[in-house]
Amino acid sequence: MEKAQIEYLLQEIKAGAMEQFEVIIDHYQQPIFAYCYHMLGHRQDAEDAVQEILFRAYERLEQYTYSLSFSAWIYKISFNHCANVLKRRKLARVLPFLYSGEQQGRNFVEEKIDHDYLGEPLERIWSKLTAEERTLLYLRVLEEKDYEEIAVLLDKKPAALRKQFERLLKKCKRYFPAMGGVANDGRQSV
Amino acid sequence: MMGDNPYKQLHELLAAKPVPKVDVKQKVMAAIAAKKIEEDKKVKKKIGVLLTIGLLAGASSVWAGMEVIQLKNEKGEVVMEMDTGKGTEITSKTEGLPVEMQNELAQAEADAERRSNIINEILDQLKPGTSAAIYWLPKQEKKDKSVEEISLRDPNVDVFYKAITYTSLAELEQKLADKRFALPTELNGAFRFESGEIEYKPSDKYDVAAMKAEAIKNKKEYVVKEIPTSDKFDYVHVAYRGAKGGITVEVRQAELGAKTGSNATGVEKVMLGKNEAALMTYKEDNQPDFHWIVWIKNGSDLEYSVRAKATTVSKEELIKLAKQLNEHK
Repeated sequence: MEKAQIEYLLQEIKAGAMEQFEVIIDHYQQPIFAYCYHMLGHRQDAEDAVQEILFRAYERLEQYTYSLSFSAWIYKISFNHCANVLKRRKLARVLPFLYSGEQQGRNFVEEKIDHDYLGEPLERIWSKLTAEERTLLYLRVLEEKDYEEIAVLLDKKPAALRKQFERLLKKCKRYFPAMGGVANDGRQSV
Repeated sequence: MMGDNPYKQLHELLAAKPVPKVDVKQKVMAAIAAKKIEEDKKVKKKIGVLLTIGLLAGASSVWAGMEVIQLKNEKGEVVMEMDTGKGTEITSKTEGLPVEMQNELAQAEADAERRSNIINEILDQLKPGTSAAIYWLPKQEKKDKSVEEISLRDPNVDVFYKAITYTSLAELEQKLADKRFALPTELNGAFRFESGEIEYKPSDKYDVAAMKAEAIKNKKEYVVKEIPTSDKFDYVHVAYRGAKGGITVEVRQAELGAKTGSNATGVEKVMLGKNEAALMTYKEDNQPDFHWIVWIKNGSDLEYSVRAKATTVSKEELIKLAKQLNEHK
């Protein structure tokens, strides 16, 4: 969908044509789900996340301005949401008494990256990365977005992101078994 | 090898993982529709509170300026009286009152606003399909008991029910014990049913003395208790959706002959076939006009209303939709 077409739809939604938001959902739900799925590593969490993100996007539509592309704006909401989920998981590991029994009986302490979907080698790398690093890696490597666009949603300078990405590749290499990094036997690292 | 081209290898790793298909459209749209209904009701509640205060203030100064529209049934009996508010200036209603009274009214307005916010927070936490009673500990016991004497319920208690949102008309109709009316799935072929809620009369299954004792003991401004929901139908609230926006329809148990007030900019009488109706127009700066048609269906004690922005449907189109609703069996 063209940017102009999206902007036109958003104008209509803001004017009260709520049903046009269905077109926006159709267009964004799969890529946002894929992003959340990679960020959270858990299918149900990712599905919950994409619902929450699209709902929040509708709620906050008045705050959206044209200085940011809608795509970047919605990814920014997605990043914040996923970062919060990951933060809560981390807290749940540190302070399990605060979280036990929450979320309809789910226990975040036992929550792990979903092995069935992400698999062992990727999980080994992924579990060592922060929310920001996961986002950078996903958007840069898989979505092939340029640094300028990622910089907008992470509130960073493109040059700083470029350096961070280079460091990130090294970090990944360290945890990648095929390279014989620390993840292999702990003796070698990059 | 990752060392040779870590970027490529990471890409392969990420791309190799199949991402399942997902479809959350219905869930998201249902959540949005439910939220809109909730907000609509909050605004209505606020307007109600402010209007009550406005009428209290107005009673002593500008009540005489009101115009009244009467709606009659096919037998010529008055079934509804509406004060149009014409000739009144909302901003000047308190002018001319003693300063003490003006301060009292300003304080009452601030209190009402604050309570309204507390109520909204409580409503947000209630599960759909459940009711709650809120007891407000009065700052001082009223010396004049006349209002309480004629009131059937305690003036310090508010009762709320959080309705269940139905996204299927068939499901809503199945839950609707009242079979005196039916709603169409489409209006004029342009608006389709989106969601609906059934509201019940406030329950009186609460213990005022116990709540009051608890509020005093714990030095709380208010006490909230979940209570059983009443089974007495109050009204049904339904949202229809079309290409240019939504319209709201309500059908409620009417009090025939009751007087009602309106803060609309203008009120006029219109005909829906042989049925008299009141059409209210609300005008605000930088906002599209808003139309609201209310009527008592001839031969029944049911009050219908339909409302929408003028950018969604014109006044004339809204009258046609109201006529279709009135004739639907």
